[in-house]
Amino acid sequence: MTSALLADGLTKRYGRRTALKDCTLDIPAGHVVGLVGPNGAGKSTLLQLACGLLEATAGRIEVLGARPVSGSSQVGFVAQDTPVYAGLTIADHLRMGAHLNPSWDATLADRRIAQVGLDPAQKAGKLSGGQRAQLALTVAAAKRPNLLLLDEPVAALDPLARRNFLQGLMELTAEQGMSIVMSSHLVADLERVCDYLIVLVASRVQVAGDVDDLLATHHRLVGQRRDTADLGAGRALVEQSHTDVQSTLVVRSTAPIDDPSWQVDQLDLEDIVLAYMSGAADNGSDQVREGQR
Amino acid sequence: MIWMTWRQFRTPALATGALLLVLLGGLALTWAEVTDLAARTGYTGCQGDSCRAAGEAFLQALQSGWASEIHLAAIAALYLLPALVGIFWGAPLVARELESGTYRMVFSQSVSRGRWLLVKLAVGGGAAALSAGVLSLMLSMWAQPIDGASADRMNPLVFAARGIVPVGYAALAFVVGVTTGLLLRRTLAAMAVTLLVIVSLQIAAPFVVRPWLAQPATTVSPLQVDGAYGISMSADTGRMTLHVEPERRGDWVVSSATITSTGAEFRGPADMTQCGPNAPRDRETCPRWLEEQNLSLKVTYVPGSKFWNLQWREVGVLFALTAVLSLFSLWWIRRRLV
Amino acid sequence: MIEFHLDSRSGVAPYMQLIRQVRHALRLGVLNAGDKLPTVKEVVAQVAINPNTVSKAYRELEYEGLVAARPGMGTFVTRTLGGDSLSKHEPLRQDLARWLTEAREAGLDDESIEALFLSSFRAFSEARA
Repeated sequence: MTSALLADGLTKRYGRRTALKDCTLDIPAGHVVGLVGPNGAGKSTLLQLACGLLEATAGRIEVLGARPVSGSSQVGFVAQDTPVYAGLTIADHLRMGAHLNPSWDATLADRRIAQVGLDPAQKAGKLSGGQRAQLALTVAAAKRPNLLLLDEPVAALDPLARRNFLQGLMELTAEQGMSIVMSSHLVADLERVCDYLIVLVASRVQVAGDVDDLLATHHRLVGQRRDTADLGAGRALVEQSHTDVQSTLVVRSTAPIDDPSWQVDQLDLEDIVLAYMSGAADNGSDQVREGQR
Repeated sequence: MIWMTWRQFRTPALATGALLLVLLGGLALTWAEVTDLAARTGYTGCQGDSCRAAGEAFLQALQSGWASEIHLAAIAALYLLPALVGIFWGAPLVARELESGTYRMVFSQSVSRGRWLLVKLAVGGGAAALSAGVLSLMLSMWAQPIDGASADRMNPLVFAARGIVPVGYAALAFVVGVTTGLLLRRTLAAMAVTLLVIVSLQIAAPFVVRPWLAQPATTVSPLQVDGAYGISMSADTGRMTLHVEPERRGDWVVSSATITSTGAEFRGPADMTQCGPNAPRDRETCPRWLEEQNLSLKVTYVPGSKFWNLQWREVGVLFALTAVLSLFSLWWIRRRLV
Repeated sequence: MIEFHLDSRSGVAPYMQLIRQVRHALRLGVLNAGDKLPTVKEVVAQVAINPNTVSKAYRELEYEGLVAARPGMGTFVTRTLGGDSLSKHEPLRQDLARWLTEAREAGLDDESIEALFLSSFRAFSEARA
């Protein structure tokens, strides 16, 4: 199966500022991938590199087996804050899509617009945030891309609009079987929708892998205060915190942990992401982890 | 892509079109007036020497009607058109997309950046050239008797409002606007800079570019002080300069100077008794004294017969610049946009 | 047609929640043999979850023999659980009542009884899964 996105040592610098450092990823196709991390971590940069709006400074990136190029009919993009042409009506936006995309599916576009309850004659500048997001999603998805990239599409939306957007997005992916890479800093939404997760902190990939796999292999260990000398083979420390009597570790382990001196807990996705985010802050973000497919 | 370009271009295009129609309407309405007056004053069909006088009468008669106002309006419009096109068509073209972020939407459609810009440049540049061309053509035809009577076509101000030169300025101004918008990425700043560049170009053209382009001829002829002349004199040092208007009807005088037999510019010293405020019979003695000085008039000029030659050269330069800027924009948008 | 909902705080995996809701519907008689389950597309449009989750749940139900997928037509219920009416399990009910009495006599209040039951039940379910 072709990877949806393949990156090898991908780096992007703006002058002295590094937006993305040495990223290596292999995202399988046919999944809904969540890209999560704090603001300024490089999520936008990664997505824009993937759809050809930016050029990499170093390293290599391939999307659906080819170099990303602006104006591809296979890759759709919904930008942050969902920009639309304020002076054009919704119908105009759809006509633009029809004229600029040979693979445009007008039936799908019209149906989605009607389903969301939008009036095609209305000017896009007068839409609410949620309505704009739905319009942008329709324009990106109606050309039937194989990969859809979304940059924080629900960040500025109220909970109902968020839910409606995700419902629409899931319906599209159920229908078309496309791969989705969606960035967000709200983990709760990603948990119900994504089956593959990438955590990006301080311009580096901290962890990437299948959600089920991540949930199964990450554990919280609570026990007596000790130095975290050696946890054993196949185990990696993600985060640690100590009081004078107690140590709490978040650990990634392929094998189950049988050590009776530790209390072992399961974690939910949000806990795992938070562990990587604070772990990265502590370690000076020099860890690069990669998941298995 | 054509539909998209038109949809975004609709309003400014129609607005400019409306203005153009008003002007063309004005020209159409006063056409009869011009031909009528030309016939009545005897200018049309005149022969030889009588043409000069008939022409003067014709031009005089025009002052009283609408025709002269329309003439001025049309010339002004042709000068303003490049600035309008550059500021309102060109500058926002890319800058607005960059500012509002919509470039992220349109560049993820299945159209390459190069093709996107190429179509926009072609449609906008073509429309600009067409507007300028139509207006200039109509005006040139309308003003034929006037140009004949006044023999003023080579005058720098009139030259850029006749023939095909306006087309070159309009096309270049449009592309200047687009390139500025592309580089500055802010609509308002791009509009301001574009205006500056275009106005500078329009001013620099007759003073710097056109003379170099036209390769004017120079003649030296003995000075006849029979017509009007102007003297500026300094009473204490006796320095004086003499300015005589050369009689070169229909030509463009780039510069003229009064020179002595050595070839240097004439600077006096003046004979105070013959010329100047203290001389008793300045009106009679001064011209005679000046003629005794063996002066010559050196005129650098472009003959009227070179009108079309110069038009084509100037348009060539303008189109070449347009092409260079277009290619640069196409390269920039592909390689270095963000 | 039944509607699904997701409780993101329950700690139960989403696909498991879907399976339980189908079973519940079968038990209560809301779904009967021959009824069509909503398509994957309809479910995700309603609940905003990953389509693979729904597919996984339907596959599990099919493995348990409760539903069957007919290509091109949808997923249909094959048998009900309504037949297992609770009245058939009177002995189990009596055992339960006896246990509850013992728990109360041991001094447990309602909350403790519920906590004891739920933690045992969870441990039991996880051991099976």
